[in-house]
Amino acid sequence: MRSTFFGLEIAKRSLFTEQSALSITGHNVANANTPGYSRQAANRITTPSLEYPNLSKSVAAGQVGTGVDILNIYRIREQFLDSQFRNESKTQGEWIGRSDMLAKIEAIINEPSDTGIRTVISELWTAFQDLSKAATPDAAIAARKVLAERSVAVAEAFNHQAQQLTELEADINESIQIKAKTVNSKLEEIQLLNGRIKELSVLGDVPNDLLDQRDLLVDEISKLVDVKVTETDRMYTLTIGGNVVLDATNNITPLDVANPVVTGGEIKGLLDARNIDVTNYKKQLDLLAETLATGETKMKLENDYTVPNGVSVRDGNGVVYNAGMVLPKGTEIIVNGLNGLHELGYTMNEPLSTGAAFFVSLNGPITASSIRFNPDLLSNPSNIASSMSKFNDGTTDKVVIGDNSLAVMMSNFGNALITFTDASGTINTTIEGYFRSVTAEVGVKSQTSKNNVKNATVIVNQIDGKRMSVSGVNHDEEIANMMMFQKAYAASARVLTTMDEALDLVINRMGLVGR
Amino acid sequence: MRITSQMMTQKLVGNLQSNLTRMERWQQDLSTTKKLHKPSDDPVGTSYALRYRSELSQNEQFKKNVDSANSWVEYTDKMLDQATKVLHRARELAVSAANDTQDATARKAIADEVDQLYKQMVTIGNSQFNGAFIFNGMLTDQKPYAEGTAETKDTDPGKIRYEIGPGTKIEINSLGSEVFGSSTAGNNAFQALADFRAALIADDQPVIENSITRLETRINDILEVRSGVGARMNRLELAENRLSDIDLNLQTLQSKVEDTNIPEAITQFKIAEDVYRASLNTGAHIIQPSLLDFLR
Repeated sequence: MRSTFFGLEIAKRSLFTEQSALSITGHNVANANTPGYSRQAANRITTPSLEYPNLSKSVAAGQVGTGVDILNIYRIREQFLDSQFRNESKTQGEWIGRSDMLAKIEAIINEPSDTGIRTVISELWTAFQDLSKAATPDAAIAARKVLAERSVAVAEAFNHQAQQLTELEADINESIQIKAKTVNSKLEEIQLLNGRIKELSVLGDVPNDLLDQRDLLVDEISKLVDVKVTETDRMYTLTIGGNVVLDATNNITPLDVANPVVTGGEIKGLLDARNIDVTNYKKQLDLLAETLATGETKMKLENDYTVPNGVSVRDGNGVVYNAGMVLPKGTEIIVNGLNGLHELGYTMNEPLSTGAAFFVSLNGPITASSIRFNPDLLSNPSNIASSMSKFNDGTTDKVVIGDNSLAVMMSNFGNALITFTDASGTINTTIEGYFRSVTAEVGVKSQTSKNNVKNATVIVNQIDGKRMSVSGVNHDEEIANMMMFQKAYAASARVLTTMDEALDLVINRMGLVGR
Repeated sequence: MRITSQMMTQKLVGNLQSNLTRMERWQQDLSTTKKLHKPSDDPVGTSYALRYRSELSQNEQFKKNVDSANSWVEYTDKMLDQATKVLHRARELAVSAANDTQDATARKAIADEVDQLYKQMVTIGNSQFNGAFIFNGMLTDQKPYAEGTAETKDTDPGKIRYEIGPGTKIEINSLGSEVFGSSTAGNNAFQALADFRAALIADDQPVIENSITRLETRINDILEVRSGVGARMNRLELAENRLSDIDLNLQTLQSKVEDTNIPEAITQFKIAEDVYRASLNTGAHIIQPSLLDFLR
């Protein structure tokens, strides 16, 4: 048996439901541009009809509907797209981090240009050529001064790049720390959200907006690191780089900010850039500097050569020639870089002396950062050797200034083939050839990483598009819904009025017969 | 597929961005007239560009070396010409002095001139190019000949070579011992002149007659050296032409790798600009209308 006010109840339920639906629409419209927001909808359900079979069931015709109610409010979202998004976002972040740093290495290399390492090395060879044409003491000193400046320029170019690379490394380290700290603070936010979501869920509610916020945080983390999400008991458990960072009991094990263990994301890209790209280029630059100074190769003698005192020379077969022995013109000898060559010749000084090391190290072995032009040669250019012979003027041995063979050989060192072994393999090439291959290698890496960023961005955008297609707010749709709900609300109000009028009739005007 | 406004906006913004990026790239190529800005623009091209730059600088140096060698060799040729003239004059004098009609007084007068010729010859032997003694081998800072001892002097045998191409070297100096004869040569120019002078003073006709032959063979020897010098001059000219050709070649190659193809870049820029305008236009149309515009 239905109650007297049953009709009012149906209308009331309907009014409330439509009102809620309008609120949800309003919420959707309000959050259309909120990052991470997924549109919400009401799960409407008809309330149980009358009458339910029991002892007091009337014999009236059944079943009579009792109206509508909202079972719950849910967010429209596909979890599968989330995991796809995070997976690709990780790849995108990784290549963004790496390609940014490779672009910086490219800027440090600064080629092709007229001021890079290639230029200063080229100018060194031509300075040796000019020295080879200086046949008088005056000209020889002038040419030596030019050569000394060119050599300083070479050393400084190496020093400068080494310095820039060290600074880049420091920048990358700082960047990694900042990003790892960001991850850690986001973990704390997720931890907080986990707790609140659980509390609310226990009460039977679905905290849609908190869920959105939590997913957004995970999305943001996924750009920086590889993050895996598992949901247990409404709480997210997060794994980064194979280590659990947020466990099932909602406890955080933060990332090590100095040395984060990750296998993806921007932090991984930065780590790779530092550990692979910067390190490799640095080593290659060191190798180049060292080879320029002491790289072993074989060269032919320009003239007959009498080995000076205190010097020993190996020919192409490794046979050692000591002071006083004569090697005929054209003999192949083993030389150790510009240093080795320079030590074979006579300086312009009296008494007769042989050349000292051309390049020296500030400390330790010769590297890009430690290489210096021998300061003794810079302060006194006559210490630079260009001659490989001496003569006796009747009283003492003197250098043959017109002998340009050492200058020519030192210039030709630029064309000598030397074996370079680095992380990329072994190649037999000239000094400049090696620099070219190193430059090209960085170029290829940078190009590849840029392409990878492009590709990953396309995929991420595609997945994000799909997500927006599912979860995004469409204004037309919301407004159409709004009108639908508004009309339903108006109709429900009309039902209420009708019921009210019916009751008014019964209460106020019935039973007045015969008054 | 369901389309949402956020989606449309994001796609539009993304596409506008990539269109702008493309435009910016062509714009950079056009404003710098270079298409290679960093190694990643074209790694292989960069490697070639670096090679061409190095080779150009090397080539430039070789050209300078050829110029220097040329000046040296030309100067040598001039000095050899002078030496020949001196010997010719001496030979003329010898021919006339050998004449029976010349008496001792006349011969003494000739001896004075021969003495001058000898001194002239020593000066030629000591000729300096840019301060360097050209006939003294590698000992370019040492004066080779002195009056009175020139005939017993052997110059340094060192050959000075300039590099005029990768691995190609050319000897630029002519040795005094070859030009004027070694100290043991019968026709040593200084010895011949000195003997001739002594014979004139001594009025020794047979020696004077003998001097004619000695001077003549020396003239021939210098001629031989000169033809060698001439051959070197030819070689230098060839080298110069070749280096110029290589230079042009390298510059063409470098330009191909590094320089913007202007017509292409302008066309591409125009296309990119049109695409950008079109995307702005359609974007404005797509974003604007919604159901709201049509509700009363």
